[in-house]
Amino acid sequence: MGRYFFRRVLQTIPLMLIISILVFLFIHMIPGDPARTLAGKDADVAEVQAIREQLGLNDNIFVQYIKYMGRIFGGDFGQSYKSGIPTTQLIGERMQNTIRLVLSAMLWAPLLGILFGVLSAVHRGGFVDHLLMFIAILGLSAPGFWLGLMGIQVFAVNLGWLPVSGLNGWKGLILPSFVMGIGCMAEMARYARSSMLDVMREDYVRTARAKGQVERKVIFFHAFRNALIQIVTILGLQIGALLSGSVLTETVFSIPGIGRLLVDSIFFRDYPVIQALLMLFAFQYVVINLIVDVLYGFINPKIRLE
Amino acid sequence: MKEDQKLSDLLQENYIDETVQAYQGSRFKVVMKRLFRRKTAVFGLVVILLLVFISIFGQWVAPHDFEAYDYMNTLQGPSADHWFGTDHYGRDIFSRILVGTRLTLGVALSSVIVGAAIGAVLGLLAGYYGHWLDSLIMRGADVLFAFPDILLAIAIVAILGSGIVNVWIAVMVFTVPSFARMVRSATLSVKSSLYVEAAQSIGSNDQRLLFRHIMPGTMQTFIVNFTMRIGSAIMAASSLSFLGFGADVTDPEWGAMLSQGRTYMDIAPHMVLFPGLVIFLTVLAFNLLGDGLRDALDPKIK
Amino acid sequence: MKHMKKLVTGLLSFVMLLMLVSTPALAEAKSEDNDLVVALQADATHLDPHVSGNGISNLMTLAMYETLIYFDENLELQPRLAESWEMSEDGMEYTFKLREGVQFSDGEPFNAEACVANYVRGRDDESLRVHSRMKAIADMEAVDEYTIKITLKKADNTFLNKFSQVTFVSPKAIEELGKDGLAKESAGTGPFILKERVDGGYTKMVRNENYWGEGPEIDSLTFQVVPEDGARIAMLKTGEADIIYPVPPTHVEQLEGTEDINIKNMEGLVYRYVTLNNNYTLEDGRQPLSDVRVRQAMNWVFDSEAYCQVVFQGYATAPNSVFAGPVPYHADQEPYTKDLEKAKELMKEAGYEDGFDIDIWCDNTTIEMKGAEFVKQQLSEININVNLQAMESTTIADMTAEPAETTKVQMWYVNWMSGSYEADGSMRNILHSEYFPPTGYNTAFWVNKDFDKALDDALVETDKDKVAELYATAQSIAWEECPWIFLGVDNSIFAEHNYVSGVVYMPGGHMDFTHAVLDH
Repeated sequence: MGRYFFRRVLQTIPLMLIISILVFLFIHMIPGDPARTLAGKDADVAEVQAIREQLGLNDNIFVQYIKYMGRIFGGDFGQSYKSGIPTTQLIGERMQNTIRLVLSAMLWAPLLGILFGVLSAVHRGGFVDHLLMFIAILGLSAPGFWLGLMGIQVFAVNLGWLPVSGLNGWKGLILPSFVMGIGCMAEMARYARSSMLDVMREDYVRTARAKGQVERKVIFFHAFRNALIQIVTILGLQIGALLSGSVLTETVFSIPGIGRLLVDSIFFRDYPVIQALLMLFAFQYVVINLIVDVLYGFINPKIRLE
Repeated sequence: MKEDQKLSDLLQENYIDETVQAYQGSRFKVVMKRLFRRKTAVFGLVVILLLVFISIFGQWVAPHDFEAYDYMNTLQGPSADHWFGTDHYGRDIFSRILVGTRLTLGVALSSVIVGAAIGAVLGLLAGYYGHWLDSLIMRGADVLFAFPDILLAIAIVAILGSGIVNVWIAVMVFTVPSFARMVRSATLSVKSSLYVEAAQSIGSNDQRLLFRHIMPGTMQTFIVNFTMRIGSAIMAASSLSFLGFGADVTDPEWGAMLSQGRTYMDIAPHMVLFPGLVIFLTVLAFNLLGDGLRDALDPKIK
Repeated sequence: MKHMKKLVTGLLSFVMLLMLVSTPALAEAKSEDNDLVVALQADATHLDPHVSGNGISNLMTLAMYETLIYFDENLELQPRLAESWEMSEDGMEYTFKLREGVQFSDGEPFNAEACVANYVRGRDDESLRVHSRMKAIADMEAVDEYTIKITLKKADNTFLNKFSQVTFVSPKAIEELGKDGLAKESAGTGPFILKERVDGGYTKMVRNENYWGEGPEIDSLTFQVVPEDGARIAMLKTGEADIIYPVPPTHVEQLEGTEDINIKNMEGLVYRYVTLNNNYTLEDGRQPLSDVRVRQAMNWVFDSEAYCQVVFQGYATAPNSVFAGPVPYHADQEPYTKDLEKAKELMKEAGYEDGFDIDIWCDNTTIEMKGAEFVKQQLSEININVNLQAMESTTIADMTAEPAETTKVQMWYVNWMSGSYEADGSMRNILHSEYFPPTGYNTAFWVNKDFDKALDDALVETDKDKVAELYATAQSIAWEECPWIFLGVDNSIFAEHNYVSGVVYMPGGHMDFTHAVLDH
């Protein structure tokens, strides 16, 4: 197990390197000149050139990459072209808003999802099962940005119950949290249900039942505890999905988080910020994937040997 | 040696293949029967068939010219003449949705088909041959997987520029890794199952094994995922349009229509409501059918 | 699943009901607090007033930093940190008498030395936007503690316009804080002091208690970034925002009907036009746009009144010259009122009765595309077949920066405004023949030496009447020659709650909060 773990961790290093190269190349292939955008429309050639020089955009791409990587290892992700603020600081500030948003969804969505899933599994084939799974599939199919727009119109503008902007205190978080969490809730409900059904077919659950234990006890102490392992694995991946969902949610609710930062930065050609953000997203996913793989290896030793 | 080979081939042809085929033949009927027992799946199927019909005949069914500007009737709410109202150019939203079905569905379907095919081939190769090929393909998939769907798509569209073709490419690319992974793991489990081991033990060659035995074995997971994936492709394409990276505003693409409508949310909510609703229903239909197929193909779960 | 149908119908009717039937919640008649919230479409790029130069950055920085002179809402120059100023006979020297007893918010005194320190900063750092505003200056010297003398490199009638954009920062802050520090704290003489800022989110300022003049009554001023038009309007309605800018023209009518909301509809500065690349060559080698008759025909067929109605719901003005009406030295020209017959005749004379194919470039935003779409439809009446190509603004900026030899631009749907209210700035960069890309944005590649001469002569002229005459000549040449299709000038539309008062709204989208009051 130790060796497998070690090997998997080692594998991520070249992976991150490849990602860094790809990200770097990708970003420099984006058409558009940040120096020109920064200089403004009525700037003349000399001004644009001065800015370009200052940003180091005149070096060849290889030199730019080496310099960039060198700085990264020193913890310096460069400065935003747009605002001149260090990228790490900018992302740090924006991150708070995104994390608040993700947490607000994490608070209720997975729990409710798991509850739905377990209830469904227990009442398999019954009305509760059908109803809950129907809700789950609705949640999975509804475009979040659409729900968000309609939610603003109905609950903020027409009814006046909630604020429009996601920045206005805890009340402002209700709608964004709902929009963010609904998909996660739906996924969790579906996974939780099938995991529970899997586990409930296992021998030890049957044995427990056969031994005449109370049904609730069987479900809780035997089935649910074991299903939880699989559910938690999925939960890890859901955090990543939530982060990417933040791009849309933040746009709809005017929340200055990292998702909107990414979109804004792409429109502005703010290379250092786009680079750092993509690396961040990639890193976070790689780590989660690593954990998932290790967990799988733990559960199924056969894969470990491959 | 040569004799042995012949013998094994003979054995295989007459014994294993026939059982597999017979099993599959009867299985199709069983699956269909199970599928039709689920009303939600039938609903999904009906909606999809309807959408396919509309995407073929939409242009003729549409009550208005989807491109006709009518500056005297902009942002009108739903009425008998304009069922879903008009947009900021006075174009009939209902007609645009009908005509746009082909575009929206076409982009999603074709990108998933191509992406899935590439992913499946890569997954098969990786799962079956293992070793360095597996590492190479799977690390490649990891790189793509390292970015959440929508982010990967945004990155791709940001590089290539906005537009429906680039959205297609973006959706195609992010479809590849999930299919590669899925098919690989399915291949691994089929490979270790008895009938392949049996075929292997009697010396059947790689190609035959891959295409005759392992492929059909991965088929059910494949079909289910494929169906569900179309739903998410539609969602992704419309998300891109919503963010301003997607289809041209003159295209009657649903996501682009919705995106344009958000400016007029408070004076013409129908511009957001109806395209969104159609996206929702379409994704729902594919998800319901996918669910139905999974349960029908793998009754253990149900 | 019998329940499904019921569920779906139930849900749907519920949503429809909520959206269409419920009455909008009215916001309070008074403000809840004494914090003025202004919702804007975009964020400032940088809060160091010398770094950034775009409209929104200026809007925010000018609440914290001040200039010696400024343009009031009638676009007339007024003193601010200066008490008076005078120009020498030859237009080479300007002397400013400074206001006494003014302090920067970090306690430093405002005086001639402080002015010179700001000048030195702008002169030496080319990457600062303030650099281009000071380029005309040869030297600035402190005559005494409250007098400065500026010597120009050559006479320039736009100097005061450009100088009215130069803000003054505490010399100590320039030294100690620099660009990075000034992004986080402010050190100006203005009515507000920066309190906190979340990039892309909001910027909060508090009242400067030591302000030299009569300051604002509001405790604080918050700029909130709300890129979505719909959300911005929703925030105004719910009272989360007290002022919003810009207001999409489509919503004006509805907002005007709301009791407690005032619409401020100002004639704008943003001039919209389509450049016609004179060198555009058809496949058969002909160059239709080099023929002035074709260019005129395109203006005769274009209905600018309808354009203002269709694209801007009437909140725009049909053009009567090559730049916006409020800009000084604007001279009225005879408008091209739609005349299809005349247009057809001109096309026939020029030999283009059957029209031609041409591409038009525009930004991929809804409003730009709507405008370009309208141009396409109008030109189709004289058989010009326009192919619309919408692209991201940064991509277009790149593609239009190509020089004449390599450019691919045929028609470009674009707009221009001079933030410093100059006639010269309204024309030079986009019409002067020395300003072909990449130097400028003359993407019509239009050359007219008389026009160039009028502009150049006006620039160094010191007699105001002669300046006016020369600019009138330049405008009439360009109007007659039609290097562009002249589209219109869209209005600057603001909306405020009626408990807001004292805010001054300016044509270019600028707002002055010095005397802002909230009824709370």
